[in-house]
Amino acid sequence: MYFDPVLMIALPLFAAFLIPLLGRVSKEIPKYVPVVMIGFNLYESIMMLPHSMVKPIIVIIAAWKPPLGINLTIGALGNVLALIISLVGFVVAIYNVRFVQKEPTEKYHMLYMLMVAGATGMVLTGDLFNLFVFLEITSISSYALTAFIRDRNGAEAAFKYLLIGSLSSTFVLLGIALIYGTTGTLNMADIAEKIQHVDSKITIVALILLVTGFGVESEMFPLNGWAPDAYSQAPTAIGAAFGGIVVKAGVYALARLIYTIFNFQGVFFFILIMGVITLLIAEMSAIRQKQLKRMLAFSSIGQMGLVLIALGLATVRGVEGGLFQMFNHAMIKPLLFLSAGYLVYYSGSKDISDLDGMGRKKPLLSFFFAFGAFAIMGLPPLSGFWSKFIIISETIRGGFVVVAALALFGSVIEAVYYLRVVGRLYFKQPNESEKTKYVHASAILAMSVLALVVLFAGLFPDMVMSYLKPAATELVDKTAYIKAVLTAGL
Amino acid sequence: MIYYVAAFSLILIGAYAVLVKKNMIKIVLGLSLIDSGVNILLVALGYINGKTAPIFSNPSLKAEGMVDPVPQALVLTAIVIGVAVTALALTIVIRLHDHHKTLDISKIRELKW
Amino acid sequence: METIPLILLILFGSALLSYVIGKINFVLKVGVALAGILVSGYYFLQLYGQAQSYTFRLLGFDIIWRINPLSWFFGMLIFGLGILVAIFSTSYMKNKERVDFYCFALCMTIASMFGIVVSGDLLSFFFFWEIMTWASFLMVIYYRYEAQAAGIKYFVMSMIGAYSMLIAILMVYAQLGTFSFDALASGWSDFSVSFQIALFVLFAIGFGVKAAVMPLHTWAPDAYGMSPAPFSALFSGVLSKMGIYGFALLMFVFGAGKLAGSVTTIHGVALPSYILAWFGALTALIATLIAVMQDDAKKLLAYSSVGQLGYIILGFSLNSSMGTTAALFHAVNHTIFKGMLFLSIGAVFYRTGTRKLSEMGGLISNMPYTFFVVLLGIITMAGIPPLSGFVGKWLIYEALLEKQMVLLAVVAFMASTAAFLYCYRLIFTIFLGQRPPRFDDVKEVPWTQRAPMLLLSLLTIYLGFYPYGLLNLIGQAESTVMGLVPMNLSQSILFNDLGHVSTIAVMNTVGTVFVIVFVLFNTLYKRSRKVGLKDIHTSGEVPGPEINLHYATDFYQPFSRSIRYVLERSADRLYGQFANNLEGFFDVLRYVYTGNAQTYALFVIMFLAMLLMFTNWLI
Repeated sequence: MYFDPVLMIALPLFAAFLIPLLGRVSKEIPKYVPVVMIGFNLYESIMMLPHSMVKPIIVIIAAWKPPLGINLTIGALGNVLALIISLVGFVVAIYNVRFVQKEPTEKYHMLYMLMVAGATGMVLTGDLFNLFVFLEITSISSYALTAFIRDRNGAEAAFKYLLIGSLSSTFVLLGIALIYGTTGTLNMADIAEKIQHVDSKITIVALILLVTGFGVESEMFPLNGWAPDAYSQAPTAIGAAFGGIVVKAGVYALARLIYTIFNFQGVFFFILIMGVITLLIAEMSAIRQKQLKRMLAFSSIGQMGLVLIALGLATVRGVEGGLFQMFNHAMIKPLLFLSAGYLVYYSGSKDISDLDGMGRKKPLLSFFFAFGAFAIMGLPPLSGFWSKFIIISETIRGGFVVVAALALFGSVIEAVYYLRVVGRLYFKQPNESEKTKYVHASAILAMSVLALVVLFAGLFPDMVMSYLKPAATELVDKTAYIKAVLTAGL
Repeated sequence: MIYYVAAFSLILIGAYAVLVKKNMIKIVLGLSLIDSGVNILLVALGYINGKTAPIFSNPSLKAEGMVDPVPQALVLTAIVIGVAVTALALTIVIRLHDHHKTLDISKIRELKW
Repeated sequence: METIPLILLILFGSALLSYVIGKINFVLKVGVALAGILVSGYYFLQLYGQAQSYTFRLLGFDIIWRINPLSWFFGMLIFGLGILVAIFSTSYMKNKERVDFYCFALCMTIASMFGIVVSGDLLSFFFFWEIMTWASFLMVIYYRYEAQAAGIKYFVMSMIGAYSMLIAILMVYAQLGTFSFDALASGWSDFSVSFQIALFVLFAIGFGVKAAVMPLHTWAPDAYGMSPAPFSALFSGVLSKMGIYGFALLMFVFGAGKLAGSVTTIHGVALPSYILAWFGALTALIATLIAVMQDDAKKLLAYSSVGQLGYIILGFSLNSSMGTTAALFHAVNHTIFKGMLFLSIGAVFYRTGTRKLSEMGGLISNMPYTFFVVLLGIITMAGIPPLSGFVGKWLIYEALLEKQMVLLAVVAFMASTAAFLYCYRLIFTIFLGQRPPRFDDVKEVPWTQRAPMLLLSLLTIYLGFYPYGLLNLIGQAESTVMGLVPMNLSQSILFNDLGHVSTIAVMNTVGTVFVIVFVLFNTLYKRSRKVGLKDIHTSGEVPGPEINLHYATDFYQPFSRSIRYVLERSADRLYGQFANNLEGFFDVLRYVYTGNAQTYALFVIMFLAMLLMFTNWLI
């Protein structure tokens, strides 16, 4: 039994603006609003799953039937991503309860709610302009959250993010304008139907503008200059949420574009190549990073490179692998960020070299970090193994052996820098034996949930995969999606 | 036609400011200019010569006499978003100026490599 | 429940359980681990002679777990040494920190190795292979502070190997659409020659890293040396055999042996195999020479291990029945004597706290059992009759001569001779010579450590006396799984085209001579004066450290001077430099992230402009 899916966007938005008011009443309430609201989203996306797997759920708003009006189109893909976003959002919200100490906390929670609501909206909407609006909601709250710690570096990172982000969203808007000008519609399914009759010289320009625009959010090289700074300077939980929420929504938009809306075959190969370049440059940049969170940021970019490779393969199996990789990345990267956040907090420095011997002082945190590192390296039986295996397998099956070899080379580099950090945690003599501080139970709970998900997804990959398969099919074979949307009003 | 020329010149001027100007305020101005350019472009897309705004103030006005209302709705939204971004950008610039005592973007490069 | 999944479940379960409940007390965690290994070993024994298989689908791939004589053969090594090592660990690991971690990694390693040998498809093979890598990696880094570099080196090299194997596996999958060994075996011949060679090279790199073939061996000395002693035994004795198992699969199950039909052959062996044979032989020779120079007892054994594995690979690459028999027999030998020696060195370390040969000496009277084990160990390692090592080496020479590869035989023989040097050094420097005063009250190790060592010693004597049971087992594996005609054996004489040798006769002769000499020695020289260890050439003075009398430091001085050329050009240093240069290059590359927001904006605009210029790419 699920409620009207519009509530998944409307309630968090409403609650976000309610938070400052509630903050007046009591300082405690705002902390729990995101947990409740995103918990509702989580419930909702789980409950919708059996339905959307069969056939996209079309939500008609204000009786404007598609292609007129704005509607939500919750296909398998959108639902899976909404689930990922809500799960990460929920876990991070739990972590936030005690982690956020810096005033004004209620604004932090408000912005966080906006970010999650925006990302959820991005993956649920069936309207291109609506997608843009939600992209902006997500981005603006992300810019603000990046600068939330009011230090000089936070502001610098936020400015870079804002500059690149708003530049890219302009391109998105331009692309939408072009599409609207030529097809006269904004409904994605309707565009996909009509764009076939439009001169490809114009649509290709629209595609380029949109790919550039969403490429920024999905961390494609060379559009990802903002990412290392924003990840490393934002509050830890937000860094985690970037990887699990914002970027996922960006990749969703990119996938929707190249698979559903447009019909160009060359773009897939282009995405594949950009994926390899993104992966390699990110991993190479990560290896000598001095700051832990910056290293994690580069690793995150590298993982997205792998996702882009999978998306560029344009086969159902490949896309399945890519979605699995997105799921894994959404679970593992927050785990790494959340544990790293506490490690950095306790060592009192952002540098990797100051983490010596934390494994002895903070065994549980270090365990979570090492667990995450092993998972992201793709070691069995953790979930990272399967997604990497499927992607590489499909890459080779597609005949791109060199691409696969380069991706694996990137993985070796990844192993080196992760093991160096894990090695420092466990094998270096602690600098000084200060009294260890207390790790909040909410943080432990958040990390445990993520670690368990990673372990279970690794042991029972079929369970995850059974939901990803319809999602991948929906992307690769768009006719069913288009038909479902365009016949919804009839 | 003139609208398109205006829109593209605004976008180009804005892009020039974003890429070349060192002063962060000017960069933010550049972003706003690009935004305006895109907005004008959107409105121009929906404009049909000799037709008027789609407002039902005059009962004699038929749907054929109106321009496409959708781009205008889009532009309204886009303007709001633009304002939000600009405001946020300016606050960040102020913050940066507080910390770095400069508005020169090429001097604010502590996060690199 | 099916036996194979049951065994895996027990092993993986006891790994987790010993880690989780191991926080409570020592007996519990070691007990759980030991019980898990014993119980699964019991179930494993019941699998003998059976042909079970268990299949299921995972992610749309067919997973096959099966047991056949070849996998039973390697499983026997895993459980045989695994159980002994677990028993040894019960006292060795007492009062050490992080025993739960140790038990976890031990059970994981054994479980994953068993998983490897029962895998009937490449996917689960790779899956367990990766688990084995990280589980053993955890063991390498067990000693926290010093071991990190060794651990990372091991892990990275393993990963490179595993990934090269992965590419081969997936290339096969892309061609055949299935991972099963059987499909590969039947489909191999249909591949083009270049594809076959590519597969051969990629698989050989993957297995070669684990089997420590030169020049992929550089992780081995450090990793063997760094892991706790009982695990070193398992590492060298069984884990490296997984690489050997891989070669057995590659040559005879996947069908790389069939390459002979399609490429140039030398001495009846396909060129890639012939090159592999040289890799094996040179590994044996060079590693042996390096082993002579080592001062760290475990590193000495590690290099020796690398050398012995070279022999085994040499045997496989001959692509003949006798070569394979020799390789598999030597594999068992190697497991036995490396188990004996690593455990003995562990026992010595347990009592003395050092592994430096130059710091030890004269422990024979303190640790007579250990001395005895090491003595038997080096005899069998050097391939001296009558112990089992002789049989293995004899078969290798014979197999080489059968193919008329004289040059290879000479190299192999040289390597074997050079092995005497380090064997002698090992036993002399530890047990003979002068005993440093600080080791005067060293005691023999407890029975839990003595028993595994002695059991292995008995085994090597038994196999030297009666190798036929094992040879039959090998023959069974060859005929049923590897598609070879087993060597012609009769019950008492090992005969072949080149001549014959009876192990019983050898045993009898050597035994008789031994008894005669023993009796003569005890009767004729009974009345001679007993001389203490310390008063031979110093007239009763205790030699101080400044008088360097120790064989360990100076004995091989001229020798080491003459091969310094080889030692200086170590592959290890080469890789290190290469890795450093690579990292330096990466370091330069990351300057694209200039930190200037405008540069990033420029990137975005340029990306857009470039795409707009080359729109044809995208259509």
